[in-house]
This record gives sequence, C-alpha cells and structure tokens, in this order.
Amino acid sequence: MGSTIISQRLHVGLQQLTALAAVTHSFLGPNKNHKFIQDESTGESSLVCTCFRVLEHLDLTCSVGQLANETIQAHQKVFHSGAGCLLFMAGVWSRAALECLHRDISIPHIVSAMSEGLDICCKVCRSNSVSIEDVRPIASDSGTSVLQGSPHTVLRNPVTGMNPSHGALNNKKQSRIKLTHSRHFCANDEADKNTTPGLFSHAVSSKGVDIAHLAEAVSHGCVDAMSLVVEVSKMQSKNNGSGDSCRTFDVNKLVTCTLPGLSEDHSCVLPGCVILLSAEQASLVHHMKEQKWQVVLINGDLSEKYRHLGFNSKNDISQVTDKLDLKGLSKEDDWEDNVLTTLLKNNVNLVLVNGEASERLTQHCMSHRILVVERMKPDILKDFAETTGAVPVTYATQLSKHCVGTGVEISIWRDCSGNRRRASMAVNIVADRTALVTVVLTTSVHSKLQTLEDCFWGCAYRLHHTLKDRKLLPGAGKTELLCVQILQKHIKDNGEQTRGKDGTSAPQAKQGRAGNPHRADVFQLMADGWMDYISTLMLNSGTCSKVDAWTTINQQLVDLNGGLSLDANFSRLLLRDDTEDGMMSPDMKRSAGKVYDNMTVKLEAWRKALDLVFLVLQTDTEIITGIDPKQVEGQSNVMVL
Amino acid sequence: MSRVTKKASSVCTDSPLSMSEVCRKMTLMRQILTSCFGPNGRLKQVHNNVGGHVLTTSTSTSLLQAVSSSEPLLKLITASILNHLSRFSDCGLYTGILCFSLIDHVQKSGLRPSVAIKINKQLLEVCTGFLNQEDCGCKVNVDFNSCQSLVTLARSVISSKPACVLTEGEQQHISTLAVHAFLLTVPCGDTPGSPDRVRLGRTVTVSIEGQFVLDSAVFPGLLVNVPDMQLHPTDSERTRRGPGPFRLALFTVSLSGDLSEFGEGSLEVHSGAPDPEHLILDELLKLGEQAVTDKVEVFMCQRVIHPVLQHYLRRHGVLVVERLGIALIQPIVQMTGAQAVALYQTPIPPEAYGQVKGCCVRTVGSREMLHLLPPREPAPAVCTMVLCHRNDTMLNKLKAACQRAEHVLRLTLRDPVALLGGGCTETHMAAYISNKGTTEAAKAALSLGVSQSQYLLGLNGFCSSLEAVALALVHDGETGLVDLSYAHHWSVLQGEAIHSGTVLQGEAIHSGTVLQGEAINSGTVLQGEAINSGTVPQGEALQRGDGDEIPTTCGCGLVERSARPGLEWTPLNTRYPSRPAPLVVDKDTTPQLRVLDSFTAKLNALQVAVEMANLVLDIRYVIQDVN
Repeated sequence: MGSTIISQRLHVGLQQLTALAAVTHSFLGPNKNHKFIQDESTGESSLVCTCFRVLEHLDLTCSVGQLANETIQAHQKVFHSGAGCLLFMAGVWSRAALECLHRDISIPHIVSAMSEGLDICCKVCRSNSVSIEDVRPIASDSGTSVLQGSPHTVLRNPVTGMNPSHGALNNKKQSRIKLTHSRHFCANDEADKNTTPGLFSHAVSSKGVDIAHLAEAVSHGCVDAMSLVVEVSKMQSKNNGSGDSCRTFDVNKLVTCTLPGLSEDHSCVLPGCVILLSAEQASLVHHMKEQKWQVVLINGDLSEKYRHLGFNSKNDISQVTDKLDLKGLSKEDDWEDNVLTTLLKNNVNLVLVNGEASERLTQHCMSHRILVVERMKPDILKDFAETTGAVPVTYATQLSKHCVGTGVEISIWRDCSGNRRRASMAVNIVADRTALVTVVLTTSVHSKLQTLEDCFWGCAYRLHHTLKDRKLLPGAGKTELLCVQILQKHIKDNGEQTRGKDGTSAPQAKQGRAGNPHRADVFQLMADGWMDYISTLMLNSGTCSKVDAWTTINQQLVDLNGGLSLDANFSRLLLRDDTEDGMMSPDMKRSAGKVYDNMTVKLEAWRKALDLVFLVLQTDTEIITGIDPKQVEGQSNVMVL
Repeated sequence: MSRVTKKASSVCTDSPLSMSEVCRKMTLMRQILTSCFGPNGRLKQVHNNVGGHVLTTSTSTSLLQAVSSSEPLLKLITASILNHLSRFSDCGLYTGILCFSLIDHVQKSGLRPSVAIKINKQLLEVCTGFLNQEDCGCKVNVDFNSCQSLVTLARSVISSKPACVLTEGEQQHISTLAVHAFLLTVPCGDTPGSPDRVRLGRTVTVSIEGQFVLDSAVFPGLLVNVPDMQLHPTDSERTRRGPGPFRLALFTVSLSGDLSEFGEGSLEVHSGAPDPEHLILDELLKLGEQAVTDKVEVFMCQRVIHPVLQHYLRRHGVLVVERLGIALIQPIVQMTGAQAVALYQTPIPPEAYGQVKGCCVRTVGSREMLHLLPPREPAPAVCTMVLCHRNDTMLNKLKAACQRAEHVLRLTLRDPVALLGGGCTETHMAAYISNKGTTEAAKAALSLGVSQSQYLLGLNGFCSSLEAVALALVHDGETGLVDLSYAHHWSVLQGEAIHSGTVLQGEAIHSGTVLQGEAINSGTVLQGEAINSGTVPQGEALQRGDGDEIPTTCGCGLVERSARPGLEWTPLNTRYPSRPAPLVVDKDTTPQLRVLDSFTAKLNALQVAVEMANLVLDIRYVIQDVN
C-alpha cells in the first residue's frame, strides 16, 4: 500500500474554513434565523440555530471540517457558549490569512503578526473589561456609561508601554473616570488568577451585585430563557438562605426537563427534580403527598439479571438437579422477594434507579406503596445522595439501614397526558435542603425543544461565566470595534516608527527577526475580520445592509479617533429590532446599549479561532494513506510515494 | 489444495538507485521531511482513503509511522529513523534529511558508490572526532546549577513542533514545566540498596482538552482519575482526614467477582449447592476483611472491584479506587513501594503493602482527580504533568512534544553537553571538515586509496549535505546565510539581503530542479541545492551584510551582529576557494543561547544518517516477492 501526497499549493484548507464558517453567519446576533438540515438519504431533518449543532449534523469529510468540528466541540464542552463567535472569527481570519498569502507575505510573518495582533487586543480588552459591580441596573439609565472615555485610555496604554495606571492618572482629560478605571487596569493579574483550575468549582456567589441585572446584560436577546435563569437563581438563593434576592447561581445544580406538547408559556422553574410517571404510578403519588419519605438510590439496573460494569457473565452455567422442582420458584422470584423484603424492612418508600427497573418488581413494589422511578440522571442521583444521606448501591440486595436517605417530598406537578399520548404525569421530587433546581422547558413545536434547551443552557452558562470572571466586555460589537481601533492605531504608529528609525527596537523581535515588515498589512486584514463581525451583527439585526454597516462603523472610528466616546446610538443601531413586529418591549430598547459579553469565553474563542487558522495555514500537504497507486495515476495534483 | 493463481516469480531490480521512479520517490520523501523541519516547518494532514481520523503533524515519529511507501529502499530508511527515534526521541527529521541528501549528492557527483562510501565513512569519523573534542566550537556544557540551559533544551524541542500552536509565553511555560517535571524525577541521594546506581522516577501525563495552556501544571506524586468519586461521600471524608502516611494495597487482578478466570468451558452446578458467584463474593469479602484488619486505608485495583466489596471497604473508611488502568500500575508501584497483587484467593502478603503520605481531591480543569502524595522525600520520585490545550489535535502533539523533551533532558544526565541549534552546528561542522579535508586531502585520499579529486568531490558532497540540513530550517520567504568567521547559520528574508547577482528559482519542490553552478576545483562539479528557497547566486558569492536585513543574532543566538562588527556572509551551499577554519566563539561572555539540541541524539542521528546512506548506496539488487 502506498501513500498518496496531495500538495495544497492553493491553500484549499483556508478556503474550506471560510466556506464552512459562512454557513453560520446568520446565527450571529440576537435575531437568529433557524436552519433546516436535511439528510437526503434518510429523509431526516432537524432544526438548528446554533453553530455547534450545525457542525454536529454536518457530515464533515474534509480534514479541515474535522479540525473545525473538534475545536468547536471542545470549546462548547468547556464553555457552553461562544462557539458561533469562534467559527465566525476562524472564517474571517482564514480569509485574512489567504489574502496575506496573495500579497506574498510569508507564513511565519503572518503567524507572528496575527498572534501579536490578538495579544495586543486581548490585553486591551482585559483592561477595558467592566467589573460586574459597575453594570448598573438599566432603570437608572445611561448617565453612568462605563464606556465613556475608555478609548482614550486604551489607546495610550499599549502604545507607549507606559504603566497604565500611572498613565491614566497623569492624563488630565480622564480625571473624571479614573476611579472606575484604575481598578480595571490592575485587573490583569486578578483575571489570570481566576482562570486557574477551578473552572467548574461550585456555586458562584455575587457579592454585592444583583444577578437579575447582570442576567439582562448578557441575555443576548434570549429574554425568555434568561428570565428562567433568573428564576433559578432566585430559587437557589432562597434555598441558600439568602431570602428573596438573587444572590447566588450554581449551574451545576441545575437540570432541564423538556416537555413537548404544552405551549411555551408553561416553562417554569421548580425545586428538586421533575420526572414523568405513568398514571398508575402517579396514583400512588396522590397518597404520598405532604409527607417526608425515605429513599434509596440504585446505580445501574434494578433487575435480577443485571451485573455491574466489568463483570463478565458466564453464560454456560447450567443447573443440575436430581429432583423435580415442584414449587416452581425461579431465581427471579427469589430475588424479587429478597429485594422487596429488604425495602420493606428498611421502610423505603421511594427507589430511584439510574438504569432500568424490572417491570414485575415495580408492580410488586407499587402494591406495597413503594414508588420505583427508573432512568434517573446521574447528576440528580448525586444530589440526592448529598442531600438525603442515602448511599448509592449497585445491587438492591446490598441495601442496609445506613444506605437509606430521608426527607424526600413528592407531589404531582401537572397532568401531561396529551391526546393520543401515553398517559403521563409530571411529578416533582424534592429533597430537604437541596439546591437542585429543575427548569421545565415546554413548547408545542416538538422540533424546537433542542433549540430551546440549547438557548437556555447558553444563557445559564453566560451568567455562570459572568459571575466567575466578575468582569464583562462591552457587547453588541463594541469590543470588536475597540480591537479594530487598536489595530488601526498600531498600524499608524508602526508607519511613523519605521519612517523615523529602523525597526530594530521593535519589541517583538521574534527569532531575532528585526520587526515584521508586513505587520501593518496583516493587522489591517485582521481588523477587517472584526469589521466583518460587526457588520454581520448589524446586518442580522435588520437595521442596514452590509455596505451601510461598514460606512457606519468607519464613521464611528473616525469619530473615536477625533476624541469622541463611543456613541450609544451606534449600539442601539445594532440591536434595533424590527419594531413593527412588536418583538421588543420599550424596556428592551432602552437596554440595547447595555449589552455585555463574557470576557474569558470571548477571548478564548478568538484564541481558538486563530489557532485553527494557524493549523490550516501551516499545512502544506495532505497525505492519504492506503491507496492503490494505480487508482490515482494520471491525476496531476497527486503524487505517489 | 491447489493454488488458484500461479505463483509469480520474484522481481529483481538491478541498481535501484538508477531507476528514475525510485529517485523520484526519494526526492518526494526528502521534500516532505524538509518541509516539516524546524519551528517554521509545515504541517501535514494525514488520513486514510476512507476518511478516517485526520492526523495533523510535522513530527518525524507520527509522520513516518503513518506514511507508508511501496519502495523497499524508503522502507529501509524509514525503519532505521524510527529505530533511532525509539532510542533518542529527537532528530528524526534531521536523520532523514541528511541521509537523503548524502545519497543525492553521491549520485549527482558521479562517484562510484564504493568510493563514496569510503569517503563518507572517513568523514563521519572526522565529524564524531570533532564533536567529541573538548573545545569543539558547537558544543556547550549543560550547567545543572541553573535551569537555563535545560529550559532552552526543552524549549528547542517544544518550539520545533508547530502543530502544538503555542504562543511564545506558552512555549516558555511548557518548557519550564518539562524541566520541572524532569527535575522531580531525578532522585536526590542514592537509591536504597544500590548506592552506585541512580534510578530515575517517571512522569505521568494527564491531558485535559479545552482548557488554557497556562493552566498546565506539574504535581509531585500521582493524579488518579476517579470519575464517580463524588457519589461516595465517605471518600471525600477520607481524603480530608489528617496526615498520613496511609497504607495502600494494589491489585492487578480483576476483583469484579466474575468467573472469567476459570477459562472456557461450561460449568454444571448442582442444585442446592451454593451459587459460584456468591462463593467468589465471599472470597472477596474475606480479602476486604483482611484489608480492614491490616489497617489498609487506600485500596486500589487496576480493574473492576465488585460493588459489594467497595461498599464494605468504604463503610470501614477505606478509600477505594478501581479501574486504574495498566499505565498507572508501574508508577504507583514505584512511588508507594507496594507490590501489585495478582491473586485474591490468598491473603495479602504483608510486604505487598505500600505507603502514601496523603491524598486529596484536586480539581484539574473539568476533572476531579485524586492526588496521591509520595511517601518519603528521597525516593524515586514520581510526578504528574497536567497538560491543557485548546483542542485534541494540539493536545496530542503537546503531549508527545513534552515526552520528547523529557527524554532529551534525560539524555543530558549521561552526557551533560548540548549542541548549538538553529542550524549553527551543521554549518560550523561543515566549515570545519571542509577546511580540514581540503588541507589534508592528499593524505586522506592516499590512505583511502582514492584519487585526490575524488576525495574532494566526496568531501564537497558531504559538506553540502550538512548544510542542506541547516538550509532545511529556512522555509519559503527566507534564505540561509553563513558568516565567514564563525560559520554560524543566519536566516534572512529572501530578496532583501541578496541584492544583485542572484537568480531566484521559483519553488523547486515539484520538479526537484538541480542547478549546476561553476566549477572551482578542476574536475569538480558543484551543485547548488534547490530544496526550498532555490537561491543560487551566480558569480562572486561574498557580500557584506548591510544593516537591517541580517538578523541581530545567528540561528542559535551565540553570535551577535552588534558585538562582532565586520562579519561577512554568504548564502549557504555556495562554494568558494579555500575556506578558513571557523573561529570558535568564546563562550564566557556570550549572550543567552536561544536554541540548543541534544548532543547524544544528534551524534547518533549523524551516525545513523551516514551509515544508512552508505547502506543504501551499497545496495545493488532489490528482490521483491510479489505474491
């Protein structure tokens, strides 16, 4: 078997990446357009409106697609938001890289200039982040705009290399804002500390900030989902003993339960967990109302045949007997009796099973007023183990007194038996002192469930990251605009510097290379990528065409360089909805200027996007192994090894 | 049974190197290796024809393992490079490029293989002799009193893997971690029992996808993955309880309680006789009882532990960890002094117990892991390196790079020297043997039984091959220069340093163009190599670098332009009459070195490359069984 080499002289990879990213352009911004993905061969189709779901559904045969998907899924797994931004930036920057190549800029130069550009921008973004304490309630309105004047400080700090806090203090113009900003400047180190391992450490409490306002700031148009998140926070705070206010939010103590059939207004937040039971089982619940019950937790299936993971069952064990078994008792009967006795002896009323439960046993238990619930999520079991004191066991026969947990309440929440569907009841199970909260998501359109769930989790994690970072970036394209501005400033300064003296004093003499002659070009192309982002945002908001958007942005940039602060109208422009639809309440319109993004998520998404571009950019050859050389004879771009 | 098809007779190829197809494949292979070389090397995407997983790499190990060739000569060379890598982990591409270059130069020079082999052998001896000299100009001592040179060594390995996609800060962080991990595995003091032998510890790597690279860290002791730990509140209690040392028992046998170890065959159980499953469980519980009475506090198993046994042990306050996997067993044995028990039917022998100083739960990225602390200080130290990266592809590359770096660092314990990197060793050595060979040509030719012109021709090819390796470091957009005083390697942007008299060949990769230059010695034909940048200057090659275009330092960072005025440069692989012996840079007052390579690995790579080239040149027939 030989290997076949395809040289990618034309940098097909970068083009593929751009094309792939273009698929998700319409997902940017608050007004998302759904997409239908249809599989021609099976006829299946699905409705998607997030970037990572699109990639999940695409059959990515090209190697670049695989790489992109891998990156996106890894990001999604950790951050649960920002995947769209990642792919968008990967797309526009791969176009930028391609353009650089067309201009005969060598790859090391592109790589070093682009990573330098990103480093500069990330630094500036960090120092311009807004502390969550400064995100004011919208009601108190715009007077305290955190962004006022920030461009001044920004522009000075990276270019002069001056100690930023001193720079800010010595600058007469900024005396008015120094108090708000002095904290941001020294925020760098703190932000780094925050990124150390405990990314998933538990509840993030918001000392002295109101979560409801923060949630609104990062809702990104998902108002309904975000209000559910706020509800969750309220409930968790209450369980925490913080009273009625929103003081804490723990994304790990949150589960979703999707119920198709009901309309979307029925979505709500409940303490504990929600499960669907058959009518028969539910009738048992009627008797169990308003009392505390004892619970046991089973890992795995509740059946005689079940063996723990890693147990290799031997099938060829045969029973030899010399007399007829007259009682007709099977092994299973024995087991059932055994389990039932154990349960009754320990006064168990509720059995929560991770896997499946044997139907017969479930029936038997029911006649003894023991409720068996199967297919419980591991997270929920874990919470019950923590709050009730129950010790999870693998085999029911293993149960003893100390494995039993106490203090569980069960109540019927709602009858969900729709027509033509199996009768089912939604039952709410709550343990004492639990922080676990269930969000019930309902919709009458079944195919929207996934989207709703994704949207909700996106909101939940945005709030989670906000509280964890304790910093936010100005949203609605303002951060990107800032980056464009920074890069343009650098381009200008670079030009002056090189005219003044030779570039040997450039700080980034990577590999001894004195300066980078193409830095300005690369920066400009990179900045264009961000411009593209903003203009796409504006386009998706339905306010203007892409050309108009570019004009507006450029005007903004000119104004900014002239010393004006970011215009609030600008961001309002970005978020203005089609008001005819009445989609936006007056309150929302007012809040348009108050959109924020998660700092860590966004900066990391940029970083990953650039990494992806670099991986593809630095690849010059595709090698296909295991091909018969005769198959590829005569193909011009292919060589056989 | 008769054969369906007639057995075909073997195919015999006469002088395989003269076949154009073979030459084309060798050129292609050399181009692949060359384009991968160095920190600016290009990546390759490797996948199979049915659309499997895509491997993005530029490292020799992954590449050569993935890419197969139908050509026996290539297979031979690939196998020897992989063998070199398995022993030294570094300089695989170097070996390949040098080997192919040598073969190529011999073919082009028209020397008979037997003559060329003799000359190559003699020059290899000169090279190894030179590198082993105390005052060799391209060697630096590794100073264990400071980690600087160790970090530089590690960084050279890590930065030469562009598929890791690290920023400079991240490279520095990872290199420091690699050195930290390496230092932790070097035991302080003697190994008990054998005072004259030092037993190195080991580093276990844990990789976490999706996290920040700067979250990577090194911990003394071991981190064990315990996914469902939180389900057992007793475990968290145990881990919080006071200081150790704790007694530990380690099993390699499966304690799942199944009958699998009885092998094949059916089992007949008499009714009324106890269930075999229960019997085994009783055995297991007896084992648990013993562990509890022996005050075992940590109970670990490579495979599955029966939940009932786990339950029993936990109730008695024992920390239970199952499914460790085979990879962790050896490190645990080494760290705790435990013996892995492979039997549960007999009581645990007392000497099988090991010790840990303590354990705690550590959150690493998204995972919660159990941290086992080493029992005593001067022990064969075991440490864990947690590597984080943004995606899986880069993470795998990073993991491999760190393992390379560790190996390279370990090699310095045996030979505490390093070679200058950045191509400087090759250019310097080429200048040295070129000078030495030319001055002693008559004597050497006589002793080898070849003519002087043949010797010079061979010498020339050898030097060009060495320089070709340095030249492989510069990729498109750049050109390699060598200074005439110290013979160090400098890379500059193409088209800026060379102002006139330069012919720029376009990309010569596909056609493998070879340009013939001017003959200097009579009877000598010089070939300008056109591997990558394809720059062949015509006429006088010497020129003075004027200011900006030449970088401030050479490839390894030893020669600074500002500190040494009056340097002159010439493009690599050009010939000029009578080159003086290169000067040795006085290393007392030199700046921080930027790139260092492993001495041991490179010396071996040099030998493997020359010997492989000689072997391939020596092959007269290839006989293939085509059935």
